[in-house]
Amino acid sequence: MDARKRTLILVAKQLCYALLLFAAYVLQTTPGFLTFFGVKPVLLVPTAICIAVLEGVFPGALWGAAAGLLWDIASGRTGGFFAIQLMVLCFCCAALVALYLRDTPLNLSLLTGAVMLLVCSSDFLFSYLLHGYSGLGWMYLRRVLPVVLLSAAVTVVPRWLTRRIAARFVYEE
Amino acid sequence: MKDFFSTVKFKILMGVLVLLAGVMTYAAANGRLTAAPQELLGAAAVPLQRISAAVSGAIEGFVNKYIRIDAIMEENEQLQEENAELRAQMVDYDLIKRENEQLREAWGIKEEFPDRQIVNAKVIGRDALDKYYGFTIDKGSRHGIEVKDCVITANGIVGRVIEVGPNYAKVATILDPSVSVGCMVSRTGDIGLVGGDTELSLNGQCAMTLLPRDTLATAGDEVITTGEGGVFPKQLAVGTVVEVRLETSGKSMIAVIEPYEDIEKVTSVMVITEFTE
Repeated sequence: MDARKRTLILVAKQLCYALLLFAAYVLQTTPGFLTFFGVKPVLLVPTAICIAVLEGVFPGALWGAAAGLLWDIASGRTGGFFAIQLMVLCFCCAALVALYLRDTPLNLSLLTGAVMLLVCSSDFLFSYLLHGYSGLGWMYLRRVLPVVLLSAAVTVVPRWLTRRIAARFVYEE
Repeated sequence: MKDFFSTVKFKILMGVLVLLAGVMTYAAANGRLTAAPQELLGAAAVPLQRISAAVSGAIEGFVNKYIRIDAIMEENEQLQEENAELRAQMVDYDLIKRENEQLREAWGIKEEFPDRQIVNAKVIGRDALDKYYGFTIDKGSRHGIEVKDCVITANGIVGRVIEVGPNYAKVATILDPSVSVGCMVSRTGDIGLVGGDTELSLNGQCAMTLLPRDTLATAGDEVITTGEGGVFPKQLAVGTVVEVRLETSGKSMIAVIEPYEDIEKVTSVMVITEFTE
């Protein structure tokens, strides 16, 4: 009976995380939502990192891959491009918090910023820089870095939501 | 933590990683993986995206009313001045209109284009990483939209369809360097290609390349489509020339174009699904 209850709680929690990621996907692609001077935050990345930090390396990496696949679809990039990167980076974030860092809003925002910088820079390299367009340095400063900063700044919201979900579905012996 | 690398879980993660790498390789080699995941997600997300876009638009409009009150008042004054100017121009309008009608009859140009099939659509998605303001609309193949269909508004052309699902379509705008449209300067008849330019796209502008070196096009001239290539119908308004300068190669001229439509903020568009010109 206890095992069944535990499984149910675990499934409900994962379902809530899935709904949270789906909501992040919808809001991330909504025109005008949290748009400042033409810059929108990427909500899938902070959400995946917050889940990874709470759940540990194994579920964290899988949720990172799921968020990456959603982002691949949202942005029309080659399937798996963001998924692979986020899987590895969410694993690293979860390991970093487990071993060295405290789970504070500032640390999570910095982690999100670092992950976003890596992922957005690689996307910029493959989607823009390698095409040889002119004026890309200016574009990187004006369009990529603000997205990184804005995504890091909004991390507190998914952190609060994921912690609420984790606290709601706790199995007590 | 060291122990984790020798567990089954780590092997599972490695398996998923290899699977994703395979998926990416396959997708890269074939253009795309399969439409199924996109279509499945589209079926679930598009209704929600429609609602969130409508709510977000309403909130944005409400907030803008108060945040932009100074700008709106200034705009109002400008519009009043413009209105007075336009009223003065109306005096000449009837004469020009009559003359225009005669010319149209003479050249056999139809005033309307009844052969054009148009689908109205709303913008429901924008990606944070799209530097050229590409967007997703709420109509797809079920509504007759196909890849390469032309996307316009009442003001002018916006872009073209690059991907279609049953209930959504993705649009690349004319600010995107991968889009190019055969156009001409309506006053001088000079023909060139209008397309995106990374530097100009930061200001919401695009470029008209391959203009002849002896072009007489100047700032303020209107640019329209020529219909060459068969993707865009002819005589669609594109924008106005802001500046004409020599191309880096020195072989031709390049014109900076200010599109008539504010592509960054467009919320509803029309897709031309069929035309016979």
